[in-house]
Amino acid sequence: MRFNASSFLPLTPAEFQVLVALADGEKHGYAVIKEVARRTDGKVRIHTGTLYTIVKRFLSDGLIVESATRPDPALDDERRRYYRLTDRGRAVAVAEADRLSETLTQARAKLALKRA
Amino acid sequence: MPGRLFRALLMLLPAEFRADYGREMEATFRAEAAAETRTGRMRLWAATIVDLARTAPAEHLDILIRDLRFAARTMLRHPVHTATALVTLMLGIGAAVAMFSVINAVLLSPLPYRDAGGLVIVQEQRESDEPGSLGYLTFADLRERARSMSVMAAVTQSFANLAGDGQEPERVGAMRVSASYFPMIGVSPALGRGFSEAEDRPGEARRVAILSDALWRRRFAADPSIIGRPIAAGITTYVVVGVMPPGFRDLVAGRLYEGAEMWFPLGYDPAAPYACRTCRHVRVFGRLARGETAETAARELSDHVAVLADAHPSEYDHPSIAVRRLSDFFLGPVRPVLLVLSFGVALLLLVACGNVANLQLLRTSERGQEVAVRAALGVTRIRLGRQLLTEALLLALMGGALGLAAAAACVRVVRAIGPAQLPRLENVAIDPPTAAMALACAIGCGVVFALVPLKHLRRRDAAAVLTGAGRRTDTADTWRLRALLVGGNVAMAAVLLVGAGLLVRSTIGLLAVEPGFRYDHILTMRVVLGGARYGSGPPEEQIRAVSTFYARALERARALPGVEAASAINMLPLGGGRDLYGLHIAGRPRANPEDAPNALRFVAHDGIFDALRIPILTGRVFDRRDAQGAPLVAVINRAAAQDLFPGEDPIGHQVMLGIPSAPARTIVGVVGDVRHEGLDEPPGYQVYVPHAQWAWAEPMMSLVVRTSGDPLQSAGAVRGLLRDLDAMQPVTSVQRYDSVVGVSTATRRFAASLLGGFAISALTLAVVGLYGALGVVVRQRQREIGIRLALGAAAGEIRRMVLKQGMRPAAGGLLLGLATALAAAGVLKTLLYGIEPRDPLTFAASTLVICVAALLACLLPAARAARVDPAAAIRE
Repeated sequence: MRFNASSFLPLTPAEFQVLVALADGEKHGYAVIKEVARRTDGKVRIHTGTLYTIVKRFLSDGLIVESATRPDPALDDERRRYYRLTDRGRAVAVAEADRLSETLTQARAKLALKRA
Repeated sequence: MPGRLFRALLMLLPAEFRADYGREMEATFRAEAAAETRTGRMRLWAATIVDLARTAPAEHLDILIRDLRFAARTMLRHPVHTATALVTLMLGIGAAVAMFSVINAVLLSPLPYRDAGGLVIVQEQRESDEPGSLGYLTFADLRERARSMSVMAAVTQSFANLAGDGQEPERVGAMRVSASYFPMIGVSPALGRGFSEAEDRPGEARRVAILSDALWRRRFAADPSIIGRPIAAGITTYVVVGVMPPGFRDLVAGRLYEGAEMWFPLGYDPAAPYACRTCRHVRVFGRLARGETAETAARELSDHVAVLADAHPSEYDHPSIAVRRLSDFFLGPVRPVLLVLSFGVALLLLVACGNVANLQLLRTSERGQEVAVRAALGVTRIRLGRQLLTEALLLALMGGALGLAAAAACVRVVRAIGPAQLPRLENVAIDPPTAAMALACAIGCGVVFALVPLKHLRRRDAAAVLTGAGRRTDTADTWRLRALLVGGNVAMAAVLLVGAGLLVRSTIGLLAVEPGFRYDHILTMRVVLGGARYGSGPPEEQIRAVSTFYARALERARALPGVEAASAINMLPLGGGRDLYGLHIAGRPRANPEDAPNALRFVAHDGIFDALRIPILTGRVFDRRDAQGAPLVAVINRAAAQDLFPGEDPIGHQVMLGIPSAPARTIVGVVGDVRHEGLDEPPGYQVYVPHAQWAWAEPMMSLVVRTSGDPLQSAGAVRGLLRDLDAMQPVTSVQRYDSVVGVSTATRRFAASLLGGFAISALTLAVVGLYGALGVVVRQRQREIGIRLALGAAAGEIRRMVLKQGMRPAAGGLLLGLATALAAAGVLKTLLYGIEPRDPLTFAASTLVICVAALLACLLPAARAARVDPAAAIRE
């Protein structure tokens, strides 16, 4: 069956942020939470319950995978797992970004019209 | 500590999720918490708690949906298994729910009165009779003296012939009640008002009436201006003062006064002859005063009546007063039947559950491989348990829904054919409590089905199942459980079979009782004459008018084609009603006339003994000679002749009915005993008096028309001739006499057929369960059987081996069932007639039936086992 990224849309803000957080490389759960908070200046905060229900669903949908490579054992916590974005996940994230961008463009055009 | 708290929080999530992510979530949370300040940590805790409380239900729902999908797929893959389980559940739950709806409507729902617990019926208990009605003067005296009652009210029967308003004449049952009746029961008219004390006195003021809502709608088109309007009822005109609320179904009216739909004030004149202390026809009800019980009230009222008996010694017979709560009075007689039936239905439900559990067990052992693979792949036992529970609950809920639908159909049937003796049968319905009961049944069953196979899902068995090494262990293990279920089912079926057998035998015995008359080929109908023509003028004229009407009607009826005999009588034997009179023999006065024996008084026309085929033993019966004004005559029954005139001929003796000063009647004949109060009740003494010779006009008579063909064929012609005689007179209760008699045995037949149905269903389920379980065993032991056969075992040996395996649990169950039935049979005692609860024949017959059924169930698998092909079985 052909993969259709748009069938996953729209994503919730938390889902989108998780995909974006993983876009620049694999991360464990805490790192994802930190990255989201950092990138949004703390405006979006994902908590453990939400994060891992998203992780579970993305894993089963094949949007992310668990990474086999682990850091230096001295720095590693064996309870942690590392997640990596798949091509499908990247495609979904891009599709969602395009959708948001389109929405923004339309909204701005309409608001500008009104103001004029 | 925070770690433990977080782990406790994680319990909100499904176990499967916890197993996959719990440790990781904890590590993440710890890292988050470590990076926060003290206040930040507090905020983090709060946010995490909210977050988990929000996400956990969604995760549970997600798993539930997946499990349901899986369960539905599994059920569809095994349609026979699913259908068998669903039909079994439908039977068990349907019967249980239908029975519960009956119990709920009849026994559990409150009586239709305010604070019904305080309402009682007050009855006079005489030494020679059962508790019964009071004379009006006794009621009046007790009402004045009673301190244990806050209010008392008297009720007598009445009726109204509504005619002359252009509509079909209609006889409406009515009650005459004390003004205190409606305040006592705590129900007021929805329209208008109740009766005032001034209306509850002799005189014209008492010509007022209250209508039931149904009558108001049917006859008066729900016209609100009816209040204050006069309506003609026979020769009396009543002013309508009230209409009762729509939902008000007066149980007193329904059960004791033929569903009365009109109420008039009692308004008795204490000086009237019918108000006397020995004229015991007034039913008395009361409300207990605060802090009083039925027992204390009975004691107090008995003390008062003893004083009254001292003052009027010739009018009482060692009296005391019985006080019973209204709920006990109405529902007490049917409680044992319904409780026995509930017990029966509970057993049937258990058998159904046992069978479905057995089926599930079979499925689990068939799915052993699949389950083992899943277990080996790391699916936890809790997860497997949850999956099984979902499957079982889905099955049970579907069974419950089917059961509810079946119960709804049963309820319709019960309402249509249920015995008239069951009060409030019309209220039986599938309502929220009943639906809740169905849901509870289904969930209960579901949990049981899940628990039984769950026992067999131990993780350590997984490897054994996968390698096939565990097959034998598994078989032996599940067989034990299955044998237990089969044995339990047989035990419960045995209890039901014995119970049903006892009831059926008792009912057959009862129906075989000779009633003393023949009721086949007889048409009956009731006529109540009303109007100025029959109800005005001096008593003699009224008697002449009424008896002449019936005499003419009978003459014409006898001339109809197909009519063999016709007569009329005031009470149809076995048709209800109880008209008892003291029987005084001329020349044999008693010190206290109230000590005289009571006799049922029948007022009849000539030809009644011929029409009912009551045998004439000596003397003669009525004929045209016994007209009004001719010497008064009476006919007595055999019991009265034998007991009251031992060793002498009663013919020629004179008797007085009611009081010693009543007119003397010469006994001209003795006829056979007739069962009147029930086939299971002794006939007692009976006196027949010609209609034209009774002390007052008896306007209400039942016609008895014996026909050569179907009695109902003649109904139109008889009604027609009555209409020709007087078109204003309503005719009611047109029916075959056998349906009248059927009503008197209906409760017993109802109980016997229901319990019989439960027993047959339970036995079928138990036998099918045994057959199924043994079939599986044979399949699982096929290899072993093949080896035995290959080693030289004879087919007969194999057959015996399988038979023994199947019959052992059946025999154990049978013994257990018989022992239980033997111990519990006593509860049936009140429902049995003519046989003992431990009737050996019933026990023996039940044993035989179960043995044969179990044997049949085992024979087929045994035969299949003996036919196993050794080579094929070993190769498998």
